[in-house]
Amino acid sequence: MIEHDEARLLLADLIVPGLSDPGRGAALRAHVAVCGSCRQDVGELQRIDEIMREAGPIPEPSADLEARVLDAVIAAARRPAPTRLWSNLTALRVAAAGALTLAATAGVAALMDGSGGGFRPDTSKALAGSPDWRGATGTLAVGTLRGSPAIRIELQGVPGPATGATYQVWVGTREARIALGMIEPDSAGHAEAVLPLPTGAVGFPGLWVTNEPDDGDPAWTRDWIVRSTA
Amino acid sequence: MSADTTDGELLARIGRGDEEAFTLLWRRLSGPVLALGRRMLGDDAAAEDVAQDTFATIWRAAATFDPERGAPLAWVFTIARNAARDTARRRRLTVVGEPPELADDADGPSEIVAIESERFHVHAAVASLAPRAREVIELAYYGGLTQVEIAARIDVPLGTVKTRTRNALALLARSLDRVEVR
Ligand SMILES: [Zn+2]
Repeated sequence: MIEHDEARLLLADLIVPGLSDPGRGAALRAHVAVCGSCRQDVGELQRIDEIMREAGPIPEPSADLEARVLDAVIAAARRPAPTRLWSNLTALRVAAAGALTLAATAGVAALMDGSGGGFRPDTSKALAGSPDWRGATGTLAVGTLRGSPAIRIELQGVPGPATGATYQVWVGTREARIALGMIEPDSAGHAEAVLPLPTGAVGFPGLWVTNEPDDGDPAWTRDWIVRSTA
Repeated sequence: MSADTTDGELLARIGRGDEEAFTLLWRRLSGPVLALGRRMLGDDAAAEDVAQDTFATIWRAAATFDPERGAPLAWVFTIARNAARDTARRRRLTVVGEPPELADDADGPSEIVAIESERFHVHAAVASLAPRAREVIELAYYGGLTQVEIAARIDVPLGTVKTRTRNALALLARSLDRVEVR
């Protein structure tokens, strides 16, 4: 017979072939048969064993992928200063083509901050709806999220995007703007997203929410839904 | 910062623009995210897109991560799943288990999401094991080696291999307690 204190350290022996020392298996099984705590642990180990078999190996990222991700992110972290940002459309296009700086998703923002949790508004104003999007209205609040610049956008009366399309949030000027992320209304036509503002985008002159076909083209369409322009 | 730094601490640092923390999180979770992408999309190149988009979003959105509203791994899992769906749309791929026509299946979408979340958490736990513990687990499960073969391969006494295997599995079992599905 094996005591509990010893048995609980050997439970994996019941799962992994070849782990048990000769002659110990029977005594271990005898203990587990009468010990609820060990039985529960064996159940968890069994589950791990199954998951390890089903999930397959953990791939090693290629050096190329790693360089792509780390370089792009570090480049994004060293974005140009605000004045250059708004005047240098080429740089923005390059950033946009990388897609990395643009990849905030409404899913994430809405998930973590759907109720605006943590967001502190400083100013707030109404967004103008496009005549092409009858009934679309919205509110823009500019403030901070845990001390960092951020905006909160609320939309009303906006139907969900068509298949293959997304609604994108842009800030900047008509000539030079960057995409902050996506926003996705629920079935009631309501959407809310809190999006962090890159350092270079603080004090942006205009904001647009546009309808963008998912065609891989990082440039914006003229199909705006709501906007706020200086 | 070291291997002991928690995922939550790394996210907090990333939220403040810490590149080193980001690199550490990448080293820890890129493999599990790639594996998730492969399982969901069945395509290695698409899985790379998933990993790239996931980590770009983590970099951008880490400041919005609120530990009071969920666990770090659950947050990363949600981002990775969204990235997989976006990648699928872009590449016209089908996401395994996600399309509505499978909703009547016994393993409906939400159940598949729960299973994928569990796999992701276990992979993340494997990736967070000490290198020596990870080695025996990977040789046993992915290399298909017996305990005796592992001992010969890494030139360590059989008893040591067994102890490492038992301890590692106990640590992995604990990772199941942390699985959250949203
Ligand atoms: Zn016991």
